[in-house]
Amino acid sequence: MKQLFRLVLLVVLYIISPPSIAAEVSGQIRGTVVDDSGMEVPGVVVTVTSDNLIGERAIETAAEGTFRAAGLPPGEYTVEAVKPGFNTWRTTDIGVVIGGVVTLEVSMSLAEAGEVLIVTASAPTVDIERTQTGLTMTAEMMQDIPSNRDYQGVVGFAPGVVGSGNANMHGGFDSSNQFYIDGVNTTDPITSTFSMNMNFDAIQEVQVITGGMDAEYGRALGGAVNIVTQSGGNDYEGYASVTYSDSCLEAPDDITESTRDSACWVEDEEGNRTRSPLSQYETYALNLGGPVIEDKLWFFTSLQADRSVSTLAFDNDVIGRPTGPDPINGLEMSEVAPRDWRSLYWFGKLTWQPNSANRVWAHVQGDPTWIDNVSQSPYVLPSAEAVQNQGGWLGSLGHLWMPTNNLQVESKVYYQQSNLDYYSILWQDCQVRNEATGACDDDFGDSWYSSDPDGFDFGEIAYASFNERNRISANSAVSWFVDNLLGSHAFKTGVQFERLISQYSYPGISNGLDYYSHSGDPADLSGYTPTTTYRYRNDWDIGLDGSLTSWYLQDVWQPIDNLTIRPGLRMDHSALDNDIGETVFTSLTWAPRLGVAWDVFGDQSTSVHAYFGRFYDSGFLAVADLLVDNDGGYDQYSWEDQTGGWSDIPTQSSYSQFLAHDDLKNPHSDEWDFGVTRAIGEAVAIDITWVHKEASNFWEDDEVNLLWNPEGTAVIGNRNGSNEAIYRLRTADDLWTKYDSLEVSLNKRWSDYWGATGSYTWSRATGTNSDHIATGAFDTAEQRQYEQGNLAYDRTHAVKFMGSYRRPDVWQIGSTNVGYLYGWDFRLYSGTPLSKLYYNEFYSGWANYGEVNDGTYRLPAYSQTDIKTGLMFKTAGTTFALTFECFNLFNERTPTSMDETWGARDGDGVYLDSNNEPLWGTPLSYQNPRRFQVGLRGEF
Amino acid sequence: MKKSIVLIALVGCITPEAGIDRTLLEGVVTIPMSMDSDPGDGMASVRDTVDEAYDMGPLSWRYTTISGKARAFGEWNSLESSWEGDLDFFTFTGAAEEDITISFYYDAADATETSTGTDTGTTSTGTTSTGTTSTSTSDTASSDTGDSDTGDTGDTGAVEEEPPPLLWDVQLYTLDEGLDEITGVPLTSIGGGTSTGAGGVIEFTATIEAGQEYVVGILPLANNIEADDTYTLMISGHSPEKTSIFAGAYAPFDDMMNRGAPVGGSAIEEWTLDEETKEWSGSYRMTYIRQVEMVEPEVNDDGEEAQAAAVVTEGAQAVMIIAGDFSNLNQGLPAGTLYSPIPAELTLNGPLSGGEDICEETPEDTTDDPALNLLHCRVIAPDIAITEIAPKVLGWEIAEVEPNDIIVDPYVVDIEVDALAAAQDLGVTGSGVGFVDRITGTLGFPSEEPFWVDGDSDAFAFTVTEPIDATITLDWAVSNDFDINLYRHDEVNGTVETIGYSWYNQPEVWNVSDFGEILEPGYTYYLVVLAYTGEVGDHPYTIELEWLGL
Repeated sequence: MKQLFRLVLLVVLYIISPPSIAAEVSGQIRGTVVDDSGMEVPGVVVTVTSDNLIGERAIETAAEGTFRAAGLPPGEYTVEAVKPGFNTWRTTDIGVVIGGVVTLEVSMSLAEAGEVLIVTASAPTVDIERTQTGLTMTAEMMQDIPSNRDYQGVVGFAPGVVGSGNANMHGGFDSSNQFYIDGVNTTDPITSTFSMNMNFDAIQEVQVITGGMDAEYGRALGGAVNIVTQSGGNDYEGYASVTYSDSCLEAPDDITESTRDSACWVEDEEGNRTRSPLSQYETYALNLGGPVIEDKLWFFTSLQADRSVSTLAFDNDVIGRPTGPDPINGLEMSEVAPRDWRSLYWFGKLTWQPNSANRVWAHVQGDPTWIDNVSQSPYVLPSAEAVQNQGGWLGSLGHLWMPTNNLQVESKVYYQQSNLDYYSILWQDCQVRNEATGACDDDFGDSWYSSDPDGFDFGEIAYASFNERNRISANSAVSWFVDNLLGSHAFKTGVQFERLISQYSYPGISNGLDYYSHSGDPADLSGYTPTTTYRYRNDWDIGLDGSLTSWYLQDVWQPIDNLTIRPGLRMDHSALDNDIGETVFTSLTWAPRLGVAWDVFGDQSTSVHAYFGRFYDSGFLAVADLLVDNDGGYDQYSWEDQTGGWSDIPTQSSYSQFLAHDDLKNPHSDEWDFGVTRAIGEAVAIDITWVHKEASNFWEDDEVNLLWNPEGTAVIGNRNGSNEAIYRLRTADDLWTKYDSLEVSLNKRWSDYWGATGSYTWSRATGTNSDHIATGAFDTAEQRQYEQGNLAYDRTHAVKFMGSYRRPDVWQIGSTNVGYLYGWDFRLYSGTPLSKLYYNEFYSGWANYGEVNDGTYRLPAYSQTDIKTGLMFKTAGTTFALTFECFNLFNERTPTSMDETWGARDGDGVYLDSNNEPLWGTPLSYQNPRRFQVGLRGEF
Repeated sequence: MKKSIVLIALVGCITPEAGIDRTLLEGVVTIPMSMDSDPGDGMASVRDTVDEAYDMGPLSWRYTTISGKARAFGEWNSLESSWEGDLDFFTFTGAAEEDITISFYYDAADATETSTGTDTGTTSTGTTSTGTTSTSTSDTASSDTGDSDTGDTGDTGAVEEEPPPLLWDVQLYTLDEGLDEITGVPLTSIGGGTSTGAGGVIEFTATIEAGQEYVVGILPLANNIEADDTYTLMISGHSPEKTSIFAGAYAPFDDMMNRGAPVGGSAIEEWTLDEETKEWSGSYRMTYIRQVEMVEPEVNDDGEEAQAAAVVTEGAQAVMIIAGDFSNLNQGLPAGTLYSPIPAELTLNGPLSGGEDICEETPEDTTDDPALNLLHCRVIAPDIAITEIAPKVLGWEIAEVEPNDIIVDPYVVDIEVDALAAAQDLGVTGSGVGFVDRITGTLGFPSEEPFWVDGDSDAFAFTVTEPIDATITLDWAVSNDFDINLYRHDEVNGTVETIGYSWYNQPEVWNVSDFGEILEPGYTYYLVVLAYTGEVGDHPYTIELEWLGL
């Protein structure tokens, strides 16, 4: 009763004083100590130590002989059990992962004082309490798998995940995932995608949760990516690395060849060849960690600089870009202007453990990035390119309080700011800036933006948008471990409060934007004639605000030793305010979760697990952004040759203002999982899981004013007397997705120099659209019968196999130890479903589906093999590794996108290109050719 | 444990989205065959020349029949020199490129004791069997039937009380090569047939084009001696599958022409033809019956007026459904529109009236919003029949008052307002949607190419009281080339700009909206008729302004 009172008190206290944990960042080691007769032994001091744990954690076994060490940072642990009169029991290399529970059976014998029994068995391979699906990757394994050195790429390693970064997890949308760094939610408040890039070397572990989530996870219908960062240690460690690659290290590109003879060399008129790679990739990293005060205060810092200059690969025989110098900036028009990415990621973390009951940590990180020529479309000519500057910083402060072995309170406050600035080259070079509005007041009467008859964007838009997004959060969680309440319980309850802020400004241009087109030589400016003008209603300056408040209660209940039941309940409240402070959406949802795991044989070798969970999308600032009061937008007018002026009636209008249906709900999903996990040997486990997931009520906008012909291709009337589209946001119950999959995965935990993960997934992702907010879907009621079927990310078959092998001390040459490493990454997917698109007269685009996409047409199956190899030299405490990576080893050149335009404008026949060939199915892009990358890493 | 299960059971019932009227409104639209008679035909026929032809107007999307009579004109009609008997001509204009079927039904001749029974039916020459089609230039009148001087060759075995010969020739002509100077019959036939003498039908098909004028010639070769012979001409019309016929649901209205914006609408699909009744029928399906209104904005503290906001009202209490070949459901009733004059009326709120509700599931399954009781599942509306063609409703008619001559260069887009100073101020505003306002005038051609030398132009000024579209038609009789321009004078800034024109056709016809423009209050509009080339003299013309809704 006293314990219960303390628990309630703590909960109340942490609700009043904002507190934290949004995602699990630690693991547990628990177990039971028994003697030779099998009787539980109380009073045993179990000590847990690790290079990743400041100090040590000592727990005394309870009357039932049980112990539990919670809040352990992921890493390799040593566990030692001591009781006078018994042998000392010790085991090493116990791997603890994020959210994982290692259950040990400690058997102690009566012995002479001082006798130590060393147990060599490693930790059980199967977590018998777990119902989550997904993948956890340690830094050791990630380090040598060929990759782009980012956590986003690791996301794609998990079974049931399509893509990487903003991936589709178990059929969820690519903007339905949550991203956590050290337990703080870094998901973009507007786009609900990842918002931070970070130093690859600062990552200790990445957990990709695709399903089966406990109640502490919520607010989104997809998966979660949980990153735990390095903290340093009692020893100083530093490492630096550099990698380099360019197009001279690429296989010849015989498909998407540019107008240059080579992606590497340029030949002048006299035949002299100069090395001039079209693309270039460089990364530099410097990391340092160690003790400030040994066993008290650790630090870790990291700096990573990336530079990548890349040029979009496309088939110019299909695209047919004009040639010659761009009349605006002189760049060659036949080539897409190279995208130039420069970023500097910085990271710093302090971890302080003043005593065994408290741990405090603070970390800051930033990811400023500058990108030139960001559009990267084969239809964008060099002078139409734009600049994007992005990035921000994050600061967090966390506290873990463990007043008793059975109670743990974890609190966290953090602040994140991210910016996304986008502007055209013309805006960047603006000569006359309006000080009040920031708009460019240059006289654009003589400048222009153009779309030529072949569809190329040409010239520049004097357009800019600046967006700052902030997330302020305070979270707290209380864990209470009870062993004698109808079995053992691990209760966890928490509150999460987040405030989301977004400030948009579109200083843009004061007057309209005129488009011109050419009918002859695109390099001849005199050949351009006006075609369209856009008149913007005003310059936007929009501030949005939202708050998300959550409470959850999760129990991990073991009524009997080999059965785990995980009931949970989550409450989410959201309130989203638009630009005038009007609360445009509020919601209160209750989401139950229930997981069951059964240790079939009671030996931690086989777990049968099942799960049901409901998830709600609480809404985010994109909803408030749609429902702004600001009536911005533009009207589009056509040029009339007859009158020599712009038309009086807009040919099309776009409004930033949406209506909102009165019955806005929360999108939600229901997930059912059932699976079996079985240990194969000491470090290998195989898992077979069936997943069924249904979701509906997505955020979608209906067009409510127009009346369409039965084909939905042309407007035959309107309801308000004006031929304009009016959109109304609703959470439509006739929008849905379904996902079914069977995942077979095999994981080899990192040990004995290697680790690997592989999976085969059969899946089927169907639904009505492929994104979850205000897409073009359902704009035409008559099209709804066709706007369903296989989703764009439906992949019937997916095979993944990646891993690494690192053997540091194989040979000795003098005082130098020489070793080697291997890494590999193999993927094989079914192709993307391909649709047939028909022309919509009102929207002036290929927007109509004439038939349900049943997966009959797909892109070819896609496969890629990447490998990495290297030599390691260790001398005088310093290790150097020289690495070679090969991406797309077999130089597969599978199309990655195809033209989907099918019907002619009148709806009949196949749309043909200028060569009288069907446009549909024409490859638009391909896998990048084989490329090599070299790297050098030094560490001490 | 039990509580968790209960919770799961509770949330497992997904509450459907409420507040969306998902009523599906279905119905059938019919286009019955039209029946007409030529009031001027018969003994006192005035249809004996093409100029006097009965004009059926533009060919519509329905079967059209017209009954007529051929006067008795003697035992046998000699056509060697000219028509002496009754010729009937009917004209129509194609509305689409399509094969049409022309059927000519006639009765057998009455038996008569006075008949000489010349059995010409079997001896006639130059006639084709029923239903054949001739695509060559027809000389039926002057040669074939003329040569078939079967009266002279009639055999002597006349049988009393046998019906007299009754031969009809029916041809479809164009006016491409004009008329036969002797007979007055068009020279170019694109199809036709000749009867065999017994009662029955002449039927043939021909391909017609949009905008082309056609003449159906009824040429009685031989008929009853004393009595008029009746016939029925049926023209299949265009198939409604070849055009867009829309059904629109509106809030109840009194005036078809000013019925407001629709609350639902659809194109008619799945047209089928009842071969017996020659009635077309098609079906429509409307979803999301709702009203969208724009609410006038409030002026904020800064004196800025926000854009009007839309208010959506789900469902409609009562609707009237009409159908027709509107180009847009927001139009009023443009002249020539084939439409349904009697709307189907339904009350959708509360208990349904006027239609049948077919619910495979209860309405409650489609919504749980008790405040919205308009909802039904699948409402079958009464059939509506498209039977009428909207006539021209004349508004004002104003004649030109000379002099109103001006001189402008039509190639100059922006002209000075002084150039229009001599324009005739009509002193009226446009009559409004559904009306046709008419201006008549005379344009002088002092030379054959006055446009470049000494041509003047007639100009007329008018205004409108509401934002509106218009079809502007300039027509004239002679073959001279007339042009027409439309200017807009903005008195605030003093500009005059060209907002539309038509130069190459006769008549010149265009919509203001063809140029991305509308007519709005606050401006003065000038119609300018220009003399380009042609025969010297003063030539009358007519300008019609047919007002259309936006």
